[in-house]
Amino acid sequence: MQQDKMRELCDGTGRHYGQMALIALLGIGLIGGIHRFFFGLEASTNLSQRYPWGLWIVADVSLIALAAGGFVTAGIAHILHRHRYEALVRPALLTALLGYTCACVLLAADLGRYYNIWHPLLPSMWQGNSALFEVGMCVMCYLTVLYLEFAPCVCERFAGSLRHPTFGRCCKVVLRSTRPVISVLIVAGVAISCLHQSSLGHVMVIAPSKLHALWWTPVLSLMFLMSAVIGGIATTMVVAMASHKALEGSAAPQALAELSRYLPILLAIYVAFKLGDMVIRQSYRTLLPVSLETVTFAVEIVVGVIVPLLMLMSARVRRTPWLLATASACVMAGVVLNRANVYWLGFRPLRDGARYVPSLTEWGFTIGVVAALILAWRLLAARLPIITTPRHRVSD
Amino acid sequence: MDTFTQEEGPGWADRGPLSRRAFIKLAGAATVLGTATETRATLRVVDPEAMAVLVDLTKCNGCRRCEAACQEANGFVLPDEQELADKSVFQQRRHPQPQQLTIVNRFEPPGIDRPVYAKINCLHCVDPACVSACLVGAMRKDPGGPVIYDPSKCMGCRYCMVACPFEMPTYEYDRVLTPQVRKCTFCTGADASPSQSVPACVKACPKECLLYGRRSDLLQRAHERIAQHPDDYVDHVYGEHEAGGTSWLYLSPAPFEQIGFPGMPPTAPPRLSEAIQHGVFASFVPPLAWCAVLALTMHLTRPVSDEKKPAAPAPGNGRLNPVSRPAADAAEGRPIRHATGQNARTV
Repeated sequence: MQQDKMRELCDGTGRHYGQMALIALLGIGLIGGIHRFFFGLEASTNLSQRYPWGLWIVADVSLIALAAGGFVTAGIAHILHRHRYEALVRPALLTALLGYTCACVLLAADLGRYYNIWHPLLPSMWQGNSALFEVGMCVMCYLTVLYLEFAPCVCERFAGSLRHPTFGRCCKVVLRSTRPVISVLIVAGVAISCLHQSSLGHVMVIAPSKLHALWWTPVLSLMFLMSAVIGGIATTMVVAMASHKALEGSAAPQALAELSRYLPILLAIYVAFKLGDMVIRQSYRTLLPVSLETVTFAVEIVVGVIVPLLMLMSARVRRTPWLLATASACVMAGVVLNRANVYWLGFRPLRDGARYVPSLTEWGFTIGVVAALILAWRLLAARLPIITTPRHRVSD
Repeated sequence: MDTFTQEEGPGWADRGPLSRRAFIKLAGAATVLGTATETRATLRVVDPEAMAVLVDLTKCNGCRRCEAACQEANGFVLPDEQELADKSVFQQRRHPQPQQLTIVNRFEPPGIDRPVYAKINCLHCVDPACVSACLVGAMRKDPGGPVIYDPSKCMGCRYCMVACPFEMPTYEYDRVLTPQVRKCTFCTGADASPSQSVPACVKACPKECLLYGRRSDLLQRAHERIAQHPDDYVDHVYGEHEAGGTSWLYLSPAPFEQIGFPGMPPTAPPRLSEAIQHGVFASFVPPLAWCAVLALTMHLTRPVSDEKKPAAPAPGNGRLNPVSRPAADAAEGRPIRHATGQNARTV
């Protein structure tokens, strides 16, 4: 029943304009992709010898941070067995799956030798001192876990299908064989996520002279883990609220109410760590004179943390869907701005010169990938049992 | 091994707690343990036989023959005599480019009656950040001195460029399919034996301001020169300690910050980042312990029956510890008006 609602919601006539806009953006992204892969990085990006990393890396780490909802909800629902969260698990899983996949696409565009992307798999090339090695290995492992966790969603849909009998039988086999290992997958998913969300922050620890003191800290990995959990929860809430009509009748609204009470606590812990670190390292001294970095830092903390923290402390805000959505969106924006600050705006090359500003192609390709993510989410959510609780169909 | 301490020049006594022998022992122990990550730990102690170059900036007259020699050795476009004589290139500060791996800049520091010319290129750090950063080992520190790049391993992520405190690696953004990281090679190929070849720029210098030799010898020589001519030099060998030490060492008539050399702490950047990372991953014990905590929590909090009665959550998971709150839902408002109460599971 929820499936039909979701289908109606996603394919319904009322949303055609949005769909068309997304397809148009996807087209722009395709043009950007052609520009990059056929004409090279020099022609398509504004990357330079001083700024080796740009918008695509920022988008990568942002997507991965916002995709953290996948492991957070899986952890709450299946490791802590809070069953009312089960309705959120699959939407968040789909978000995580698509977020990571899109991050890989963006990464491939950013890599100069994208055809060597598999090199970290070769033990002869392992370089365990590198933070990126850890990120790479964990992303590959987690992507595998995500696809395995997602396999039941596909298989449930087609198991026993009369139209494709062989495929249906295969699906049944997959379902039966994944059930015993699903707990292992969930534990592995949570553990791997924690590791690499944090190591994404650790990447910049090697460059203390290049990252502004407002962000560089030896515990950058901890900051990244905390902000990823927060951003993941906020994204899960926004996604759930966007599909709230389909979630009607499930336990999702209760879970959302609960999450909206936990979120300010997590935000308070996060801001306490941020400010505590600032005091310990005395980086507050760099707040004056006012510069671009201090402004973006202030926006990141005020709009991304303090404002939603204060908003979510009020029960009225938590009860009002549009206010709750606004607060969650603020949190998401704050996490994205944090990633942008660490990887772009707070990055200070040794030599003086012009600041890096992304090119049109960089923006276009990024927007196209995000549009593809939203389109794919809607397409899959309408056709697969995403908005149903896990055991719903199996027990039929 | 006994000659090791003798060969250490002044200032090397405090080069860190690890002796070479201890390092080898550690590496051996790590091999036995089978931890792939630690056997490849970056070279922390300089090899006494490691080769280096001493650049005496008091002698350089800015002829840029080293630039030309570098172009020739690497097969790049050669500047002709006229271009070399053209002093207008000094009007702006240049930096190494993918097709120009070494650059001479002119500085006019206050208090010195003539310009100071400074040749810059990859400094071939003793404990290089690029080597620590590269996730596929495309950057390698040769014990003989050079930091060597292997394009066949490279993925093109450019983390080496982010990590390098001197901002020396450059990238061939203009090549569509096979871009490479370009930096001074110390005139070694990826597989060449490095210790025997004198770099082309050293050979080309007519003023003998470049000196190629063992790092320990060169350091000693540098300090001797400072001691003999204290008025000609600032009392500082750049590269002796900067970022953990470099294979290119500089003597200057002016303070280094006035001639474009960045101030650097004496510890190599990878020491902190690797210490943290290997702490978190120490023989995979912490990650496995975290898995165990998660699995245990999962086991302890499993529902007693298939009813909606989850047991009290175990205290193992600190981050998202859900407060036990059976009635709180009812007390608190719900964010979405379509909420329909207690049918928590659609089993």
